[in-house]
Amino acid sequence: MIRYVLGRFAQSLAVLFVILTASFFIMKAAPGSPLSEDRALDPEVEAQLMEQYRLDQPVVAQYGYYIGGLLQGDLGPSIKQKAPVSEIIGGAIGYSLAIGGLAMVFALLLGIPLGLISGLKQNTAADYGLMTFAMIGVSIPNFVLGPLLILVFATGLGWFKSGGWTGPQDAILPAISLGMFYTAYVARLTRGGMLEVVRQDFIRTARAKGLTEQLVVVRHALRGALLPVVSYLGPAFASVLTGSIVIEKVFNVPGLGTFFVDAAFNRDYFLVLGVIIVYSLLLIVLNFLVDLLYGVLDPRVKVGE
Amino acid sequence: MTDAKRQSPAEGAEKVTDEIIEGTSLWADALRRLKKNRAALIGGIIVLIMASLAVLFTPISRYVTRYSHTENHVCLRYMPPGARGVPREHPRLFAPDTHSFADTDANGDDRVDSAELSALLRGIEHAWIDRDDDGLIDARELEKAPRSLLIEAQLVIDRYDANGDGGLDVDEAEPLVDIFPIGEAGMFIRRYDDSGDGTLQAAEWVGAPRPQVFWMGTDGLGRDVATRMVFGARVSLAVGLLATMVSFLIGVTWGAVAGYFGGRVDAVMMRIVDIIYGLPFMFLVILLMVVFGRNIYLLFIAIGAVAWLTMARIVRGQVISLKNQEFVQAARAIGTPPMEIVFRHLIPNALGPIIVYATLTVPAVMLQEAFLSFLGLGVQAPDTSWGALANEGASPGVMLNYPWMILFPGGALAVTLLSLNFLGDGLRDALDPRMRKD
Repeated sequence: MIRYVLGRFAQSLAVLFVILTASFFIMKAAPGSPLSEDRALDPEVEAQLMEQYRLDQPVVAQYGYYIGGLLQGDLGPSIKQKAPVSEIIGGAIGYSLAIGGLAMVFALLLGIPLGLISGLKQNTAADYGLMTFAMIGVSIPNFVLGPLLILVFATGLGWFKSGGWTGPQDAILPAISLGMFYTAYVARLTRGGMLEVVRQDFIRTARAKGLTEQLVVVRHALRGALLPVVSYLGPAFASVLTGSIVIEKVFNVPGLGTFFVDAAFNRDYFLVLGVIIVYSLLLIVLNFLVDLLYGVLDPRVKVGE
Repeated sequence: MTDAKRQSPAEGAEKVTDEIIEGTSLWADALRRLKKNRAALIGGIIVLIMASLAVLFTPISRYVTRYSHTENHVCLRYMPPGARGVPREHPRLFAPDTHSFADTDANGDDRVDSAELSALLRGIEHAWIDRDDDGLIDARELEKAPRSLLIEAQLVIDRYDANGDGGLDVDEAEPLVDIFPIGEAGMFIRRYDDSGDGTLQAAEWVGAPRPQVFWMGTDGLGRDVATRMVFGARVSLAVGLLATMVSFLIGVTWGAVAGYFGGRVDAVMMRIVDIIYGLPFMFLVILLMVVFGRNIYLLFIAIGAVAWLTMARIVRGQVISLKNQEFVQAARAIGTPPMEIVFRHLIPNALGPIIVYATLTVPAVMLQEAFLSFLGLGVQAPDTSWGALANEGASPGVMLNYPWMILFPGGALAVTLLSLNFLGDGLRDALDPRMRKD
C-alpha cells in the first residue's frame, strides 16, 4: 500500500511537470506580452521591465529560471498585479474553496439521499417528483440559475447580497447555483445504481437470510449503489473547479477563477502557471482519494495492482 | 443461426423462424419500448423540431423574420418582445404607397441621398420622441427615447437648445444625428442601394422592408433576438452532436480496451487520461483558444477531446466488472480474439450505461460551450449560440431591465437539455430492460 501511494506520488509529480511544461510553452507561443498595455510603454522602462522579469532571455532560459524558482517554492511574480503569485493565490483560493466545497457538500448531502429515496420507492409519486426535479436540475445552466437566484433572493426578497463578498453567507447563493447540477446528477446516479444493485443476487441472499430492509439497504445495497457516484466524483471535482470560474464571475467574487481568466487574457504568465499548479494539485489529490474510496467500496477493484 | 435455418425441414417453417428472429432483435424491441414512453417521445420530437429549424432556417430567415442575425438598428436597442420592428412613424417611410419617394426627395433630383433621408428620419424620430406632440422634446421625453438613454437628458437639452425655450425642435436636434437614432440614414441607404451609387432611387426605395415584429425583442445593438436565437441553435446543437460523437468514439474504445486488458496497458492508458484530467479543462481550452484563435472547429475538437475522458472511465469501470463474468470466460475459452471480445461481447453488454452517459454528454457539452461563450472564448460575434445569447442577458443590469434577453435563450437551452435528457432516459429504459421502470 505504501509502495502504491509512493508510486502514485511520483506519477503525480511527473504529471504535474508535464502539465506545467506544456502550459509554459503554449503560453509563450501565444502572441502578445504581459507588458503590452493600452498606452505604449516608454522603451527604456519596457527594456528595464523585460530585464527584471527576464522576458528578454530565450524561452528555454526563462523556463529554467521558472522551474528553478519553483523548486525553491517561489511561484514568481504577477507581472500585471505587481505582487507575488503566491500572495495573490493565497488571497483568492479561500473563496473558490468555500464555494466549490459547499457546492459539493450540498450535492452529496442532498443528492445521495434523494437518489436513494427515489430508487427505493421506484415508480411512486415521490420517485417521479424527485426525478423530474433532478431532470430540471441537470438542464438549467448554472449561469442562468445564478442570475435567477440573484433576482429572486437578492434583488427581490433581499435575503442575500447580489454579489461581492463580505462573509461566509455570501457563499450560499453561488454554491447553490454551482451545486444544483451536481445534486441532481448525483441523485440520478444514486437512483440508477440502486436500481441496478437491488436486482442482484447478493441482495436477494441478504433478504433471504432475513435481514431487515434497512440493513439490506445500508449494509449491502448502498455500497454498490454509490459506485457510479464515486466514479463520477473525479470529473465532478474538475467540473466544479472550472464551473466556479463562471460562478465567480456571475457573483463577482474575487476567487481563483477570476484571476485565472484575466491572467490568461493578459498573458500574465506566472499567475496563469501558478493557478494551474494549484488546480492540478487539487485535482490530483482529489482523484487519488476517489480511487482509494472506489477500492474500499468495491473489493473487486484492487487498488495498487 | 444460418445453420438452424438450413436444418429447418420446410420452406414455410424457415420463413416463420425468420420473422420470430426479427421480432425479438434488441433494436426492434427497444424501438417498440421507446414508442411507449411519452416523455421520451415528446423530448425527441422537440429536439427534432429544434434541429430542423436550426438547419432549415438560414435560407428562409429573410422571408420569416426578415432580419439577418447581424442586422442591427441603433434606434431599436432593447425593444421588448412583440415590439414593431420600426418606430411608430417609420411604417410611413418604409411603405411606398403611404409615403412617397417624392416627399423625401427634397431637391427633386429623383434621388434620395443620405442628407435628405437624414432630414426626414430626424423629423420622424423627433415626432416620435415628442410624445405630447408639442413640437418640442423635453427632458422627460428624451429620457424615454428608445435608446434607453442613460445620458443626462437635461444636460443634452441645455446644450443643444439654441433658442432657450427648454426643448429641442427638429432643427436643434440636428447635431444629435451622430448619437441618436437618426444616424441610421447612411446605413439604410447603403443597405438598399442596389446600384451602389450612394443614393436610393424610386425602385430601390420600394424594396425597403415593411415593418416587422420583433417576436422576442431586440438586444443591445438592436438586433432581432428571434433570428439570433435560431442562428444560435445551429451552433449549440452542432457542438452538442459533434463533440459527443468525438467523445463517444474515443471514450468507448479507450475505456473498453484499458478495462479489458488491465495490467500495464490499463495503467498506461488511464494514466494518460489522468494527465489530461489533471489539466483543468477550462485552462486547456483557454490556452488553445488564446494561441490558435477562437474558431468553431477548434471548439468542437477541444470540447469533444476532453469529454471522452469521462466516457472512458465509465466504460472501463463497466468492463472491469463485466470481464470476469462467465460469458466472457466462455468466449475466451472458445478462443475468441481479445478485440472481438471487447467489441462483440463487452461493449454491447455495457451499452446501457454507455448510452445513458452519451445522451447526458450532449447536454453537458452544450453547457460547456455555453460556459466558454460566457468567458468570451466560445463563438465570436456576429455569430452566436444560445450560450452566448444567454450571457449577453445574464449581466445584472441587462437582466433586471430587459429580462427577455436571458429568458428566451436560457429557456431554449433548458427546454432542449430537458428534452435531450428525457430522450436519453427513454433510450436507456428501452435498451436496458433491467433498468426499465415497469
